[in-house]
Amino acid sequence: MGVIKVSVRGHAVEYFPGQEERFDFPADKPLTIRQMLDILGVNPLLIMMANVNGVKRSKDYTITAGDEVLLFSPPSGG
Amino acid sequence: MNGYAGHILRVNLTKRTHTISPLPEDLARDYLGGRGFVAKLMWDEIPQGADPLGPDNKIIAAPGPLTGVFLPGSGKLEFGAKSPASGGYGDSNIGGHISPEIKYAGFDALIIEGVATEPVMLVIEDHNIEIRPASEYWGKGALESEAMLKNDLGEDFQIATIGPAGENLVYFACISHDFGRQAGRTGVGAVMGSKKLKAIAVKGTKSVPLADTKATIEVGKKMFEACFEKPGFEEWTPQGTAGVTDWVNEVGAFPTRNFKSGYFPKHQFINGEQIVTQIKVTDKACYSCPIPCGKYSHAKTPKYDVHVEGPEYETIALIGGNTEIDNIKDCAYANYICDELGLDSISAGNVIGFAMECYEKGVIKGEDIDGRTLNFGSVDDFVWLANDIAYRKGVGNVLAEGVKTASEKFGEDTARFAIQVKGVEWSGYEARYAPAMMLSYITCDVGAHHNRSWAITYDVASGRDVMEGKAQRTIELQHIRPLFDMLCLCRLQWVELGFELDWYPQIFKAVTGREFSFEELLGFSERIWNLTRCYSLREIEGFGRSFDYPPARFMEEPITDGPTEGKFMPRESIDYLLDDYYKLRGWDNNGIPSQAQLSKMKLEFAEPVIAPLRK
Repeated sequence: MGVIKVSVRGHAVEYFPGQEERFDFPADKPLTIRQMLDILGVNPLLIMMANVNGVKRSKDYTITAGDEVLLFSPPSGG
Repeated sequence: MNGYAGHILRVNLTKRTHTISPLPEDLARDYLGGRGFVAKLMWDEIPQGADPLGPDNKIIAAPGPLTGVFLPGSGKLEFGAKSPASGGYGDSNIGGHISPEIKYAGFDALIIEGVATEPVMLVIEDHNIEIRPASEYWGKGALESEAMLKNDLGEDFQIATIGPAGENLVYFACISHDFGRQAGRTGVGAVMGSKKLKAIAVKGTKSVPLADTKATIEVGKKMFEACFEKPGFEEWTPQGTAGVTDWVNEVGAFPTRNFKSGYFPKHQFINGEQIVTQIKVTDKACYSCPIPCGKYSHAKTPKYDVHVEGPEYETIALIGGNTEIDNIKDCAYANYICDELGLDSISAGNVIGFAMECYEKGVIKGEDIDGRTLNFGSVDDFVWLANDIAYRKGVGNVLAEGVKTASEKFGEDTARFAIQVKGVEWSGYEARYAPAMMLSYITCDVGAHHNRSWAITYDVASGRDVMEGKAQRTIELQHIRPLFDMLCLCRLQWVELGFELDWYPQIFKAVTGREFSFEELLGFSERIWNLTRCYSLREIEGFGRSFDYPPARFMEEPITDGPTEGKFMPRESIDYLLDDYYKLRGWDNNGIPSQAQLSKMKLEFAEPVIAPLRK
């Protein structure tokens, strides 16, 4: 079984298990970012945007082992 | 005192005199700097009952102990004055480069009092202080006058100006600096205008003593490196705060059509991607910032050709969503108009959205506005009204005092949709389905501003129907975020990159030699939160719980569409939140701090004023 490398930028990291901003997510089959967040117990609405392998993707994009996923917290105004 | 320039500059515009005095050690010890200095000096020095636009009010500008030091985001300045918008405590912070310049000129605070008889500017070059005539700049736009002053004084002066809105005492006039940064809220620009003070120009060449120079450099360097190593560091800058536009719509919190809705169907046309692809020229940073959020833009159509810093998220929300201007170039143009006039773009978008609804409902009639129109979605209508507000013409003269005063004059139940708290217009987050965010707005010490506590992700994570726990979180944030305003640091590294708060006690110790945990630093912030409450209790007759409610629209009218359609926050929910909040704060049921709380906060000096207010 491979892993998806996940990074979380910003304050939403406090809602992730262990509050880790970088972690490996075990992936035995493809799944969407939204499904991964559900498994992690994180409300997908806490994530503003996602990049997969450096490309902006929706939360419904399918990811698989070996992918690098960057999840963005929403900025809090200007 | 390490970390401090060591002096306060006091300027009396009536007498055209100035004095330079040593920074009192107890002020630095107990109030740290920035917002702390502003709050304490306002309490001590502005006479009770002073007219916010009269000679007794004072403008206080204060950097903090970490201002100008080599660490991320050390370029913030706090302005404060009794607010013409609320009649109570007012402050607003600003980025750019003027805060370190004040410190390098040798000052930890500027106190400006009195009223000049003709337009003047204050020129500070280290300890050489001059009050100079400024009639040639009076009447010019904020951006134009800054450019003129840079040309006349030299590029190495840092300059804060007001525009026509400040000169004409508009209650939401801002102080502008660095061609696009503003101390926007609570009407500090109007206070400057009331003193006939067009500009403050500063150039400093001094240094600031550090407790441990080697440690300061080492910790500061590590802080920068920690920023650079954050996941997605390089992805922050391209869009800046505008990058959040789509998400705020996704959670149904985007102010739309004078806060009727939390969702703007055309939000994709005014988001961060549109800035990048259509108008951005370059990124623009404040002093010592590794993550520039400023976007310097060029918007050009057959109707206009303007350069502007922005629009950032709040401007997009209030000008874009709230008045339904649905393309990024028009938003940038309206942003430019506000910046040049010296209007806070948050309040301007809120006020003009209110006026558009009044026009739609027939409260403002065609004959009231010389046959012109005032339609949602029209940038032309936005621009003419912004000008009329800044110059106080016609209905603009009524709106120049904000939606609270305007609704009192218009009558006809318009207070229902005058979206403000304590006389200050609501900023960029619809909160009818976000209890902690709602509580953050209604209890904010300067009125409906997001700066003190931003809690929407907490609402999403903890349940948007859940009321329990929201007061506790709001209070935590109301101590963390204003602490940044006491130290005069930008908070974006923390909240946007996830930069650890533990860094700040380390750098504070290296700079000042004083050792505190972060929790202990928060204690200073809690003291100021209680002091600003006391200030408004002292200044506003009948101040208390009744000033902590949102407008009726939020308590009675369901959101019209989008993801939060049908949601509103009934008064009993607001009461639950306030009861919980006051109890946790050690305040009574009317929102008045108890004697024990004042004692705990070392604010015993306020007790004689507050005691008679308790029932």
